Amino acid sequence: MTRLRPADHGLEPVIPAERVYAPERVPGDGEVNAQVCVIGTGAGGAVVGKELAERGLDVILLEEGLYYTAADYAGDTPMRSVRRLYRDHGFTFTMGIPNILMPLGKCVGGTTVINSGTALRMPEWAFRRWQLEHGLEALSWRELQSLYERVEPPSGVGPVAEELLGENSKIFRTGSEKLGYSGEVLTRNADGCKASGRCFLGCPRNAKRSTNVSFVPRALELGARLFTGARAERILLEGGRVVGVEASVDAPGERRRRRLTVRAPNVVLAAGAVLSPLLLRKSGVGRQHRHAGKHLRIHPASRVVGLFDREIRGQFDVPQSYHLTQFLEQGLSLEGIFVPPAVLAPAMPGFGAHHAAMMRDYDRMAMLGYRIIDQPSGSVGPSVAGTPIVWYDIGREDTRKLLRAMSLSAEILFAAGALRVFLPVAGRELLTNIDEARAFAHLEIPAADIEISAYHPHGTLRMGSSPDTAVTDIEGRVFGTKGLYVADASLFPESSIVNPMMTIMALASHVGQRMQA
Amino acid sequence: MLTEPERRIIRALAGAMLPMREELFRGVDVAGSIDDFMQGAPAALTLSTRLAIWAVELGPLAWGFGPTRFTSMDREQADRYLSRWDRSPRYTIRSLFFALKVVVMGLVYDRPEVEADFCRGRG
Repeated sequence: MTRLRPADHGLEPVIPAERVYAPERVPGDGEVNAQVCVIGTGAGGAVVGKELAERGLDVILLEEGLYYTAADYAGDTPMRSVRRLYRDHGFTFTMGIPNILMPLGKCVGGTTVINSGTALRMPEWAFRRWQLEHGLEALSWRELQSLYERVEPPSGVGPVAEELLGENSKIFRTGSEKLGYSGEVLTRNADGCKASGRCFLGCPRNAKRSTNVSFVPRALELGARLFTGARAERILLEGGRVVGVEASVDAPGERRRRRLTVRAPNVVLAAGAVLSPLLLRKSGVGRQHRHAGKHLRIHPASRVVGLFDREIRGQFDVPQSYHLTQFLEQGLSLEGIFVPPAVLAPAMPGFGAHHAAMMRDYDRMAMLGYRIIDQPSGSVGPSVAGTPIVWYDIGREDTRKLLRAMSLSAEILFAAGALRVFLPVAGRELLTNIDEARAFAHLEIPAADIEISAYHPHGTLRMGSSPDTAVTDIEGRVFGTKGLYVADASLFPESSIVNPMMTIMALASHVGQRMQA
Repeated sequence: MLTEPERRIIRALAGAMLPMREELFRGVDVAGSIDDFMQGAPAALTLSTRLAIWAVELGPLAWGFGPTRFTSMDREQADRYLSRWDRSPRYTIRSLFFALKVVVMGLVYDRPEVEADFCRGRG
């Protein structure tokens, strides 16, 4: 386990500082050697890095963002946290209609720092589909369970305690039970949670065991080195095998980015389903793989807001602590959420005096989030500037699913006593009773009228049994390029159905344990 | 950094979008907050924000409000004009306005004193 020390705001991980190379510590145009270079420190990179370091390998972790913990962001306002911890200052969008907001972390810990901490194992029926349809029988369900068992304890995974559920989640549970829908309290990676209500802004107490306070410090304790502010530009290849990574470092006060070359015979791509395929393509490997950058799924999501006749004050509860399991096999997931005024205000309809009056009821609002299991409707490619462009067009069937999830969510809020419900649909923002909520599922509404966001990009370097259908094998080895591996959500051949973090970690652990380095 | 004319447009937008109590708004420098937030932002984000700002400023003519600018409109006219953006059947127009809402409202409600005024906090 990673060592923690008490701090004013909670706990701080003990980080071996001598092993962290911030931009100012990187010598101008330097070169370093390692046995393995891991690109990214999120759910995939941190876990694979720790596994490899535990095996005694000389590991370098490259991370484009900087190293922050609660000591840095505990006092931040929401927008300041977003600016500090999110890629593109929180404004990462897909191209297509509608543009879909897809927040990604850009810091040590990646998106684990800014997610809600939901930590679930994927259902067996979904994994069986992975095995059958993608030839992945080499990894058994039982083995997957032991991988989960390996990554869960360092992540502090456990169910949300009843006393932390909060009024927002209780409303969700009450409404669901009244309607006879089955659900359960979520498990999260936050065993020391004090319900600060800020999971997606970086836990202010380090109670959420994102990888910046769990697997990364552990990997460093085991001897790994971490370069922060270091953006991997391309993978270096010689004669069909990997020889290293070229990165650039944004050193303070310098106009030109420093060049950092990592010489390593093994490279693990763990930059996430948006950046990993891009890097593969920029390095000239992607062209051999017709599936690279394709089959993107994102779990399109949104939320409804219910107004109640009593105070709820969900801002100071665990935002995501209860979910419905009833509709998972139909591709619908409903989860409690709650956001601060700075995030809610732009999403509420209108502006001006009417809008301000609505916001005055903030303390009486409950929120419910939902996401759908989508078709592989997107792809990732480079822009002229070399930055990623995500193309995603939501299909008619998926739009119907979104409307059904929205309708169910509104129905639940009304069943729990909501006076009215606000929807994220242009021109149809308000429902006043449960019948309207039920009828909503049957309307034909174009996707462009729905405000959609997404938090789970996956599938862009999918694993499988052959290069004809996949980019990597079950152990993350990229077909046709020796020494190159993938260990992030890009690997998913289909949806994990539930929030993907723990499955990414489990697969990364598998890659790290099996790598022949 | 926003130019002085851009700051004026932002102030007018914030005034129309967020008619808060005067004492609450007194300390809020929305344009300054945007400048601060945009430091180090990707070029595409700063460029599209500027584009949206100027589109709002120069849009009244295209929307049939005559040869005037947004910053010259009185409050009632500005409300009617911005409603056209907000309720436009065209997705692109609506999303430009939404992007401005995210930036302006997000940064104003982000201020601790504004947040505290709208939610009472724990206990």
